[in-house]
Amino acid sequence: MSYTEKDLKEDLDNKSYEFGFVTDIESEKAPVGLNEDIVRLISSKKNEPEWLLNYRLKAFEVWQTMKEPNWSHVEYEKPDFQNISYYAAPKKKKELKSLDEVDPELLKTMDKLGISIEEQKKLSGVAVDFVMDSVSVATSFKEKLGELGIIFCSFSEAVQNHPNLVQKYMGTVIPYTDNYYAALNSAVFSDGSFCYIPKGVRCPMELSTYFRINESGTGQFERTLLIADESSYVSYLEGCTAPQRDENQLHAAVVELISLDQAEIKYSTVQNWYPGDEKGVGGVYNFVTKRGICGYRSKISWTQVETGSAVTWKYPSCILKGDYSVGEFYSVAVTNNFQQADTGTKMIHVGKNTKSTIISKGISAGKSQNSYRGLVKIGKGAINARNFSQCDSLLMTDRCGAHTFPYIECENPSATVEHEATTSKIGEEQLFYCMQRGISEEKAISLIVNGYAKEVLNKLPMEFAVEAQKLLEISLEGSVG
Amino acid sequence: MITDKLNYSPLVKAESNNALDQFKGTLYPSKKEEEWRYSPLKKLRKIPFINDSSFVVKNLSLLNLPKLEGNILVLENGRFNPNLSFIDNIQGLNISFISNSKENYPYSTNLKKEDYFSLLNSSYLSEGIVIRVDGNAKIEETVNVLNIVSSNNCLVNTKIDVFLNENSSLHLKQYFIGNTTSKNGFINHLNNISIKENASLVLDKFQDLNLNFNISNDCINQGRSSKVISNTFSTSGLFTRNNVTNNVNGEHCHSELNGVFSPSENEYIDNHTLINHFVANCKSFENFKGIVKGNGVGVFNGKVIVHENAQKIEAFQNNKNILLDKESIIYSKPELEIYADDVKCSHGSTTGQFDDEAIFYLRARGISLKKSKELMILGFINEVIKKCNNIDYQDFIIERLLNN
Repeated sequence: MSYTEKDLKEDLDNKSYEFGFVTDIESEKAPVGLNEDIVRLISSKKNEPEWLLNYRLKAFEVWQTMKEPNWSHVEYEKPDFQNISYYAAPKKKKELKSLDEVDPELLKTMDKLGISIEEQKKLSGVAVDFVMDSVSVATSFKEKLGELGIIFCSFSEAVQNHPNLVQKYMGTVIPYTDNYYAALNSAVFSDGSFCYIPKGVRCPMELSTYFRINESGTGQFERTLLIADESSYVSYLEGCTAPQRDENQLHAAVVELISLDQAEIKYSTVQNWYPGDEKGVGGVYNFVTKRGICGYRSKISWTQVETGSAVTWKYPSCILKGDYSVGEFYSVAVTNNFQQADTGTKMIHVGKNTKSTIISKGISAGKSQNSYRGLVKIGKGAINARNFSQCDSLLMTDRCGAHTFPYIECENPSATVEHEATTSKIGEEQLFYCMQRGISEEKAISLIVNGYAKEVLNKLPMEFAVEAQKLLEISLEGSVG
Repeated sequence: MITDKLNYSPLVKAESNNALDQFKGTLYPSKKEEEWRYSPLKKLRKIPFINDSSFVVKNLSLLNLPKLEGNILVLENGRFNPNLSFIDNIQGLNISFISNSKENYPYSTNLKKEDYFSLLNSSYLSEGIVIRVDGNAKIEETVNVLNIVSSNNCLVNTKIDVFLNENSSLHLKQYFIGNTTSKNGFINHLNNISIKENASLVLDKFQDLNLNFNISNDCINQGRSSKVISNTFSTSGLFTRNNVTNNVNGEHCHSELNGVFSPSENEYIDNHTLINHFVANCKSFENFKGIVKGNGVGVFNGKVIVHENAQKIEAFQNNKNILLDKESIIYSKPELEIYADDVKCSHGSTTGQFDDEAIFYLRARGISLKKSKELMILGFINEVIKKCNNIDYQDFIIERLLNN
């Protein structure tokens, strides 16, 4: 797992998008288009109980009455929702016990992603729930987790095996009426991950899941539900890659976190979906709704490194409902070429003595647009609430944009809310200093950028930190001219 | 509807502009619009406004204003009140009224076309003042413009056009006053300001509306090397909103927007500012302080846009707020939109309450609680207050902010 300088050099030589390949596995697709029948079809394919079908149908009904939001600072061609296939699953859906039964093509893909299950199993202690186009294929370390009572499985499996938990918590943080894409997701979600940590259990390993949009023209509608019961702890990793495609692909995921009293959830994301080519053709649309709710003395920490996607629209949020609860948001968002990102967070303080911290670092290069949009809301009852926000932007070229839209709504006088933001470019003196010492310009820039983002990268689990650092460098290559 | 009982303005010559047509096609803003999301728009909408151009105020001393020096122009209920005014002939300064003018005043504003209230202003204009300063004229004496609403439910649509020619300077003081005896009056005002090369303008605005409403749209256009300093002090008003658009069109400009606002019980005071940096090498500063009492609502929404190619911009934005009571609310939204890379831009926003230890420090020295709080507020707003050079005016503002 060690990452040497030689590896870095190889990565740097490989300038184009490194994970742009398509795995050739037969897959089953639903007919193109969206109507009530499709919703029913998805539900019946997955053999879902009736309450879930009703949930989907209600969501679909609501979705039809909603309008696509256009307040964000991004411009893109609106996806044609009738031109998407809403369900795709690898055809081979046998129960798999050992790796030999897994499609060799899939294994190869995992190798390329650097998360080969064999290696994971032996070395790293990371349990991987590998999501290949909507349906989980292989899950490792399940038994070990099972001993502790931890449930970590695909969403559809959870619906079959733990319907009570799913029914109790699903949609409690993000109701289907929340927004356009959340409603769409609630109606047609294909699969995702489910995780439950029982009372008082500290999950011994980082749980991780890799999402991947594989089938051409398939929008992926993932749904993740993570429940940390009282006094438990979990660190959850999510990494994303997608193959190179010309048409825009839509990704509208929903992630719900529930952190009960005194529990702690750490949710880390590295997102490097296909951002489109240098001319801005193709790329993934990433419209994600992520939100968590905190109980008494509990904590939710979001960490994200966003380098991919043509258009990103994502606001991982915390509802600090319990007294003394803590919300954190650490983000590095990099945009290059024609990428557009409108990302940030919402910290909603409801309980007393709640605390939140927001650190956001934006880096824009090429002709990209990078926006921070964050809400800090202190409710009437949030006595002694405390918030600190800092969002810095770094500009690499004179054709890119960096924008900050903070919303601060304070309805309680005992709260202390601070926000600060700066925008600047890489210091010429810093560059000069490095180059004078024989460091190439590109290397110097990556050094400075890494230093700039360090505050956030430090918050990532070890495995991710290395990958994230690599990603930053690759994403920014050739961006300074 | 706001306009149900209103007469069209005789000043608006239908053939010369299409403001009225546009106005008819414009909807009353709703809370769903980003620009209006915090405004209690219903408060305004319900009131059937009327035209009423009677004079009520007999003497300016009744308004508790500081001693006014220089030219005094009083608009009461949207009509020029010559009895209260004093116009001195000053070389280089030309003051005229739109109602006396033979020319057509086509409505011209660089505000967003769909803006409901600026179109309302143009369509139902009651009176306008045109202030021109000749090139190279440095006007030492202050020009005071008082805009008073003194009748119930009276809608006042007024406008000031200010033209500063090359190398000129002017100090303009505006007072928006809601008479204490009147209720639900509404001053909908438009400032159209054009500042040519090397000219400089100081604009002090004082807003004390009591139980009345005020919306003030300022559109400032700056030419090369010009300077504008705008200080806005809002002490009361059921609904007070300032929309300032500052277009910086020439290089080496200096723009400064400062303000203190203190909404108290049932009041709403909103400062929306937009600074457009179209060209390079300019500086802009914003500093707004909010003191919110009772269940008052304060809003600051500042936006700085640095357009493409506008390099070497320095833009600073600062908003600090104190909430004094349990029910007080503040909404702060300092925004930056930057499309150029060689810039230094930053913004900051803080919201909090009095520091208990500081209060304790003062009280331990025998200062009463009330006085300690006053001292703290004074320290808090001093940074902005001292931007006004006139000591009398400073004292007046402080007195009003503390005692309201």
